[in-house]
Amino acid sequence: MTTRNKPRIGVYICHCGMNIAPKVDVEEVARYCQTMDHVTIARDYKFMCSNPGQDMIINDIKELGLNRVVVASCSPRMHEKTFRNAVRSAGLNPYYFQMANIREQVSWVTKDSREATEKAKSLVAAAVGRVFFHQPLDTRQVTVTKSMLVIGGGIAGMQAALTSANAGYQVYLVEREPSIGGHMAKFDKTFPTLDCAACIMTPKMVDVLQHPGITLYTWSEVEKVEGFIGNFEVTVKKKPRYVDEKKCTGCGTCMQKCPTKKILSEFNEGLSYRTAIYTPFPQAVPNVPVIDATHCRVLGQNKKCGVCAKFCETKAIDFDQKPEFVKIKAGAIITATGFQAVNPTSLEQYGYGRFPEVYTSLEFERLNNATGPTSGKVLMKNGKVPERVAIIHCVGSRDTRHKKYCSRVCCMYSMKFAHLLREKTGAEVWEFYIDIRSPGKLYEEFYNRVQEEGVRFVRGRVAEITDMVEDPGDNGRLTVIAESTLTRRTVRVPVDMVVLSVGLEPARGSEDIGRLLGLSRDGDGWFNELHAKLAPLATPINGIFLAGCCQGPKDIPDTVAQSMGAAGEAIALLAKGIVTTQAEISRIDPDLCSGCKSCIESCTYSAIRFDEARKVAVVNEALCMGCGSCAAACPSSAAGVKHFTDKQVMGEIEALLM
Amino acid sequence: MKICFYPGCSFATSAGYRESTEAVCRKLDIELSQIPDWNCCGATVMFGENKLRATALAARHFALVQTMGFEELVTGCNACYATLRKAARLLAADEELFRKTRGVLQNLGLELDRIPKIRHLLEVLVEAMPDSASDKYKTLAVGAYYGCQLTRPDEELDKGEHPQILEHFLSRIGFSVKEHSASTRCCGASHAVIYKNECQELSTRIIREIENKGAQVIATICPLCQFNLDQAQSQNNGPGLPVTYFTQLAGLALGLAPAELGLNKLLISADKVLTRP
Amino acid sequence: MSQNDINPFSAIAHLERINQCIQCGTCSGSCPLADLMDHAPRELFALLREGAYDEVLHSNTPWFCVSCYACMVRCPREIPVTDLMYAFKEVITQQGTAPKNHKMPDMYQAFSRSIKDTGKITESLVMARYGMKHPVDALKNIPLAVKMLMRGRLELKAQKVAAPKAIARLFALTEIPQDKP
Repeated sequence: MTTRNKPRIGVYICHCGMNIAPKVDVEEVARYCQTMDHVTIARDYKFMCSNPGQDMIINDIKELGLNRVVVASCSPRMHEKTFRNAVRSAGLNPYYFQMANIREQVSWVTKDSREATEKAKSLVAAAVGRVFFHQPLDTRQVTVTKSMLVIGGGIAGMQAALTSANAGYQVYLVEREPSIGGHMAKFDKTFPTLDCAACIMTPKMVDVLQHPGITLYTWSEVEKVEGFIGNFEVTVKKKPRYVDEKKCTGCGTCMQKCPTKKILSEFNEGLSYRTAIYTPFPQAVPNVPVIDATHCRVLGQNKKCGVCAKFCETKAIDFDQKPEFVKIKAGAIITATGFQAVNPTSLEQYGYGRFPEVYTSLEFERLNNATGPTSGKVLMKNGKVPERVAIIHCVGSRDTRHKKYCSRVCCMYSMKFAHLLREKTGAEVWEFYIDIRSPGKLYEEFYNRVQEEGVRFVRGRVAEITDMVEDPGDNGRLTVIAESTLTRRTVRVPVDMVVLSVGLEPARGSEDIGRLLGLSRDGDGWFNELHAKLAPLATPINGIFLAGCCQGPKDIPDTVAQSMGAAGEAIALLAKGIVTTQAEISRIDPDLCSGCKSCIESCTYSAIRFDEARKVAVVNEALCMGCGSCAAACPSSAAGVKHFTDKQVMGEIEALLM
Repeated sequence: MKICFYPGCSFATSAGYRESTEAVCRKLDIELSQIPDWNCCGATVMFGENKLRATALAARHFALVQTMGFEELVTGCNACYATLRKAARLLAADEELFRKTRGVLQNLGLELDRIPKIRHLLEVLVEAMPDSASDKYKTLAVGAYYGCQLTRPDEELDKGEHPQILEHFLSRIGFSVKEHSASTRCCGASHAVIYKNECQELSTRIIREIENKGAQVIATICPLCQFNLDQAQSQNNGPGLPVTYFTQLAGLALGLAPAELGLNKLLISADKVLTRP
Repeated sequence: MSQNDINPFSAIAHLERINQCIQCGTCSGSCPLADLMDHAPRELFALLREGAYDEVLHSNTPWFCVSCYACMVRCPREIPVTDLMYAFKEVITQQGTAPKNHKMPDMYQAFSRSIKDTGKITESLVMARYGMKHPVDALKNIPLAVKMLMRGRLELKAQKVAAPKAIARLFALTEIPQDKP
């Protein structure tokens, strides 16, 4: 079948069950199409994507000699591949196919049936007008680089790296903090099993460090991402540690000797201090310190010091270290950039930042952790053990003024805190909640256990935390005010300490990572998965996968499961070894090209080179992504994207407007 | 500077709000163009009776402001501020209500085309008052009390829970400001007048908190708040915290005499506290 | 109470917002006078959603609303609680189901009548009118009234607008059929 013959177009209008019909009068649309020029047959059918539907197309191609096919149904993102395959299996080039979206763009968004039918007719006419000008095209096959990049070294990233490396693939793990471990490294005991987070995680951290298949870059960030699926080229910036990793033995003398001691520790959520040369926590991996250049007397203030260098036995300190840029080739990328806790300062009614004994959950976690500012004892800032503590659920979550979603883990970690408080201090614990969400395995049982431990659960979202007290004897304490909705009274509870169970939001900098990778984010900033139910680990960008909280708040069991899944998806891609890329790429007509180089300047993939001999621009088909920037830039219409030629697009527009 | 002023029903009988506002504005060369023939805004009562009536009562002033040629309307009472803003908000959002209100006012011979911007007297002084020129009141500790309706529900001027605009103002004009946790706690408003016993604790709690945090005098921005806090203390026979208006403190900062500012009208006298070397 | 009762509150603007209430209790917890109400604000919304219209019509809750708006700025679903309380008062007034001999509805009436007659509020006269229904209460205020009078803070003469008839006319133009005089 060639274009030399007159186009014989088959048009198929799908009912999509009840999704398109009866909102769109599909029979009428089919009748209308039958009257169009060059339309040989127009049919309507309940489910075009089904086997009988596809067989209908195949049979018509064979029996009616169709050489063009239009299907009016859902979004091309759903079934363009399906129908192209059907067309191909009938012996026709799959690019002789065009889809009209009359579901997402018509039946799902138009209220009036009459209007919907008219709009559907226009869109199908446009598709018919376009397909008339289609040409046969071929796809390409590219080999996949058999290595993987994992961005983020928390539990999600580490697990993805380990699973992939264990499968025999080379993994590059990039982490922006001085150590891997992420948020989990800050936790004390984890729900529902009360495993110590460090105990279960440090073996994994060591595995990551020692695994021959994993190259670990800490204190590093992804700077640039170029290339395409199967062939990503990533530039990683290794920020200067000012310590030579190869020479450092991790003895820690430098940290002991450093005279700059009053820097708020980020790892301890600002509750204690660290030195200018530091490792964030004792079990840091790698156990190599970094120098905080802003606060270091030598690097940040041009003063004389260098005490660390003086005492370092292996002479590992290097104040002249510069950032290093490493280029990595990866076939797949797994994004595991995690989350950050919501800052409750703007919820002024809770007094965070005004009252010293109001803590966020992460701060409270550090109080409980043995490596924290109080060596794991729950103490107030005045050194005393609290006698009564309030835990406030839903701070910043389920709140249209902050995050409208539920952050999923807070009920469970709040109950964990209640348990730890009862166990460690015997304090009276009041837990203020709206609903108790305990859906995981052993989660409801954990709730039951905490109830048995005598924690006082009050159903009521806290209205205010104030330092005004009812009883002068409570001077110095905080009062928690809430309606106890179950007992229908206002409770005003004087407490020594308040823990705010803050929600989760996307990690700082995820917007930048999204831009680098080309990932879209939802309204709350979480990365968009390909399909919420059926493809939660893939993204619309082929070859880039998601693991962990960067896709949405979740607990550790779900994070680990998701990481293993993302690794599996990435491994599948690498194992296959080849990727079929699109046929819709740029073509520059050398006869029309004037050699102005506008296309080369506009190409983001550096896919066009200038042929000095012929003085024309030439496309590198392996790199071209078919974005069309060159076509738009070209003043002589020499550059065009295959399958998006001027004729095809104009044909579509003309038919639409007729 | 000329501003269009809506006094509200409690302004003239308040404990010196009127005197101090007029004195301060005179000193700062602010001409108060009072809306002629203003009526009661309806306060917290009329919207509970009849929405159209309440809107029309408030909007009558919008029409009058229009004829006066002003774009903004300034008031010193929180309830008037909140009620006028509520009417403005409803009229801007509800076409049918606007049409009906317009009709009612036309029947009274008034044209409503534009809705003015409603501002509180505090905003005007924040802009017009110069920084402190003397240390005279540097040791006078003031607790700021906003009441509820300046920054709620709109939160346009400042935050709803812990605004800072009044504290910053008082500090800038030379007073020592003591932060406290009751700056927007409700005094009970008109309920405190009717349910005196039940609402006593509301005012007492506020005063106790301000006192605990080290203030010697309270600064208010609303006649009803001033009344409630003032009279709640006058029940007790002991000394209390004088409850002043921010305009009175502004007047003192400008060097005006207490007598010019109506400070003698307070139930809890401010004499002792204001005696400065 | 029959499940088939017509909702007397159905005409209230934005009433459907209470469908989004998650019954968290922030409104009640923030309310300075919740302890005086027969139903805390949260509970009132729950009753209304369940169709307990009589309970809501006879509740004293809206009459104890001080309009402090603390509920409104904290509600996690941004439900306009205070505005709804105003609207409830409007319906209750029109239906005539305000609690009998309750001080607040009577005070509101005295206030409103004052505006209708003179266009302004003269505190002493409003109190006097209120005192006709609650004499003991009004009399209890006399010592305070004297104190205020001595400081020039009590006006005994009626404050009026230039043309009180205009305000009375405004009232007439905005009357709703079931309006109580």
